[in-house]
Amino acid sequence: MGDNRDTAVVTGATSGLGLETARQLAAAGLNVVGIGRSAEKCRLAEREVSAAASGPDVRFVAADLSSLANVREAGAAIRSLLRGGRLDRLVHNAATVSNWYIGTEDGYELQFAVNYLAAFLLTRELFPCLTRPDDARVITISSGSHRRARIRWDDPMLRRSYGCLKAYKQSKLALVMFTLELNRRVAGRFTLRALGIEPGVVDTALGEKNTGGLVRAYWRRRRKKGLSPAEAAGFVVRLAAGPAPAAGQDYWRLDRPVEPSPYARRVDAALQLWQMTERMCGVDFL
Amino acid sequence: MTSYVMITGAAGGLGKALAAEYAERGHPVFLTDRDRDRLEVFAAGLERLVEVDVVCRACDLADEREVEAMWSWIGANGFVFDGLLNVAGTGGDGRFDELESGRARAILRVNIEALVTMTKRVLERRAPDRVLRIVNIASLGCFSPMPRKSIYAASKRFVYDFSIALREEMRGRNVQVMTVCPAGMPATPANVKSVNDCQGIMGLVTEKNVGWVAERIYERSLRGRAVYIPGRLNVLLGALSKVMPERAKARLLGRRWERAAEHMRR
Repeated sequence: MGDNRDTAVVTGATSGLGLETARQLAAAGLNVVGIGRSAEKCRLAEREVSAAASGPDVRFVAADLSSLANVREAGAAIRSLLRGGRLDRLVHNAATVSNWYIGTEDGYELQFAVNYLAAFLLTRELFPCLTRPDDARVITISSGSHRRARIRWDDPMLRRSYGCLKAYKQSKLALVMFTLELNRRVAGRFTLRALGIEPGVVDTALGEKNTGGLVRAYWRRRRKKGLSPAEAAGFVVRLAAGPAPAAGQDYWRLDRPVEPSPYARRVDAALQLWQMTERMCGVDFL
Repeated sequence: MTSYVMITGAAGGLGKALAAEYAERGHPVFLTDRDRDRLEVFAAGLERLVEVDVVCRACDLADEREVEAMWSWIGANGFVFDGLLNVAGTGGDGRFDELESGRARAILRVNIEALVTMTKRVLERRAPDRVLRIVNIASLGCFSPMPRKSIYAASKRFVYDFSIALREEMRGRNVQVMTVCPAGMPATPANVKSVNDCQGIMGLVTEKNVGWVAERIYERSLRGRAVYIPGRLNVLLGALSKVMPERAKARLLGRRWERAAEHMRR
């Protein structure tokens, strides 16, 4: 990666919002490293994003973010692409939806693992690079649905009472709690900043890849009302590549700072979640 | 003395869910599966979440020598058991004459022979003065002859009959045997695709979440149930298949799997 430009990592960058975000970041002059599950789609996306701008370096890394081992490997691959240099933006966009309870190889629930755990662990794996620039930003793509969720401490993987949307909402809530808690933990120690953004409904295939029947019909209907991926990505890129938001404006709905849900702001719950996550990933972080 | 719950097929969908269920409820677990890498990754993940001891040892239950080697290791290390969940099972889709060679034998070895051996060995190494709870995973398919899954369904019929007979033999001996007859439980993205896209409405209404089933297996086994069919509709289908003539069932199910296979090919 050329070190004269800022570099951004975007997860889930082979389709939908992630692909658009990667493309627009490259167009804005940033080097981009995309992560996607399928090596084939990574190859195609790399070509597509490269075509958006001639200057920046564009690279893709294939990784299945449902696997903690794979997240670690992706982290190592990106560190070596950066050659120990700095990482300026980390955009946690990858997400999945499933209407069935699926246990990952580590035995955790699929949506929780992909939408949240992977973001936590990848941030940790890339943390040394994120502390180098003066204004590194970790951006999490959240969802307004986090407002209708809480963490089910007695069954956090929702194994016994799985519901597609329930698991989705909880994973997004966890991501918001992670964003706020990360800011609390780096405050006064590092210049890094975590920002959350909810793009609302976006017209992507998110809810149709791992679902069927009524659940798929619901998501299919819902996406029609959404923003196009390009419009939604515009707001993400504004937050990533635009001027740094004022202090305290850590959570956004499109271009407006808003308050996350009261549960998401609970410090005790965030601490408990952080500790549980460290245990699940088998790491210490901050 | 610590007694363990032995779980076979522990790196598969239902195996993982059951391992988590039992371990979270305070039972030390002994996990085995053919796939060493997946087993070890899963066991490590489980260990980080629970307080109890998690032991794992890879073993291909289709290979008699590996099974013997595992049991000598178990003997040498003095493990005793108060539970056995025979989850490991294998199947084969397609007409009998088109099955790849060795597939039929593998089904018989894992679903029947290994289940019998594991049951025998666990009975020999049961924890003294404790109830031994055995859970054998059969299938809703065990009530019907099934074209395109003929060996599989017949092997599960063996599991069903054997388990019920064993339960009677063990009456008054502090051994509980429960047979579970689940319909499908999509537990991997590939299964999910098959259920969502290929099996039509019957797939969607009969299939159950694997974690939901695991919790209920735990509770029913504790209550000493003889047979557990997860899901009300599946109970009804089970009852229906007990009164329907064998050949009519076979024709009906044959058509269903034929359609699903056609869908898969597309």
